[in-house]
Amino acid sequence: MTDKPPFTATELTRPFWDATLERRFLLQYDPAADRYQFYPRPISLFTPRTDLEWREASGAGTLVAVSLCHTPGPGFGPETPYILSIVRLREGPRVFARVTGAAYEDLRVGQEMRLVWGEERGEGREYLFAPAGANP
Amino acid sequence: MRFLRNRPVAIVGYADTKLVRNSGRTAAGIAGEVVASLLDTAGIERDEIDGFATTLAMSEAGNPFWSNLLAEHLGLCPRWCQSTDIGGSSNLGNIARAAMAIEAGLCTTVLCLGADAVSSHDATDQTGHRTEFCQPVGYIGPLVAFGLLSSAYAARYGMPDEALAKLAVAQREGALLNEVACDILRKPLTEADYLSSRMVSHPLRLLDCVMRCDGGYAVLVTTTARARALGFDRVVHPISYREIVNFDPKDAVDDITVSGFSVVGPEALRDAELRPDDIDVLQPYDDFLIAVLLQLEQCGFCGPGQAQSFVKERDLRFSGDLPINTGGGQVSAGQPGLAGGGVNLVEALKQLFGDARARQVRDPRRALVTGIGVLPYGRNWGSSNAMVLERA
Repeated sequence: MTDKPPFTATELTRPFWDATLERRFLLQYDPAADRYQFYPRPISLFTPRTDLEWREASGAGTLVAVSLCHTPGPGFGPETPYILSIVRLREGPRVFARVTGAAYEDLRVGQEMRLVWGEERGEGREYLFAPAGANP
Repeated sequence: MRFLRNRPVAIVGYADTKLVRNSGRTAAGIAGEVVASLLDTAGIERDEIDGFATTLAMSEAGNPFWSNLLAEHLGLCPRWCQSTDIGGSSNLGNIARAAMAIEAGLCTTVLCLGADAVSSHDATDQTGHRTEFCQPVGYIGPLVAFGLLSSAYAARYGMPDEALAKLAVAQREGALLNEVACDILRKPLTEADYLSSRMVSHPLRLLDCVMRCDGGYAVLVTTTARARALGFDRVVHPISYREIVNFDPKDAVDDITVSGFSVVGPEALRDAELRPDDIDVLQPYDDFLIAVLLQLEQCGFCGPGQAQSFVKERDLRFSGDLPINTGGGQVSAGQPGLAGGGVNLVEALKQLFGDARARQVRDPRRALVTGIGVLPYGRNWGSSNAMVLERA
């Protein structure tokens, strides 16, 4: 059992969290601007459109920032220290998630990462990143 | 706010409380203490105040009528009233908003207040990406955000450990001379102490971070004409102000180390017709020490990635050639929640009014004060603002 905060879906985010249960990571896509965005917003950041498409991300990205967290969030105590990151997806948006499959000392900003899936919790499944070459 | 150049608005008084960790007090209690102190030291009648601007209080975050409740608690009947919610930028933002309300003719004399008892009671609930996309994956708040930001800066320019250590010690020396700083922070600190402090969110150290506390401040803003009529012979003018909120929403800047200060810092100096060298005392918002280095670079004191070598060449103490956060800043005095930016603001006023006693900068004429607020998703901080204050 886990005491971590559950993933919760709202009007804006239900398609995203539903897809995570099928291990698919969806981005909002604005065809008029040809731009992706994440997290899900009520309106395109680039045009006045609200009828955005949901498109599956490739899962490939680049490590933008990485931190070894010694001060756990609620429910994360047993896994401390754990690695948190910002990864820029190939499609453009930056995503904040934990890193798995690597030691903190071996991670380098700029390296290629890929999205992997963690545990199901509440209305969604956790997404994490691993180095592009690592086994899950 | 070009009208500020004509010096139509004056700060005539200020007050602050002792900063205390876990005081067990309330924001309203702190507000009452600091307003009584302001009325006493400024020597004006409460009925003179016809405008009121406050920050929110994290300890009272559930109350959607906060400014009105404070007015009622304090016995004010303002003709213009607002609470400002641009996070740590709200403190400086309120001085600017007060100037605008005065210029617009809505009021003449504004009480700008910040009071928060967040270390005793935190009632905040940050809905949106914080609770939906951050906390469920292990986010614990600003520590992680600034650990990540530091790693991005380090990857680009190298980790500026020497500059951070020097800044930590300089600010702590200020806190040792500042009787309102939190007592538990008023202990001598060496660069070795800083460098050996434990990692909280690698590469962020414990001594990079603010400690939350309880406290408050009040500032009185009026027209320059009214200040003269009331007999104030010492006044400080806000002479320029710029703010930006939710910097770079379209991700045009593919570098998370760049903040809104790259816009508002140079603008605020240009509006005041000043260069960085013209600033006598710098009071940058310091929720984390790395933020001070980024501001030095992005306001134009040095170039991108040059903070380490720049700080090495300068003396940051009150007696030095570039005094920074002379009362300890928030990092060494404490962060009273959303009133935190008032620590930097009030220290600038103490210096310009010549009230800083043992840590008084010699005859300062101009101060640059800044504010930082709000952590957006996957980026740098969201709001940045900057004001130049000038002693008349």
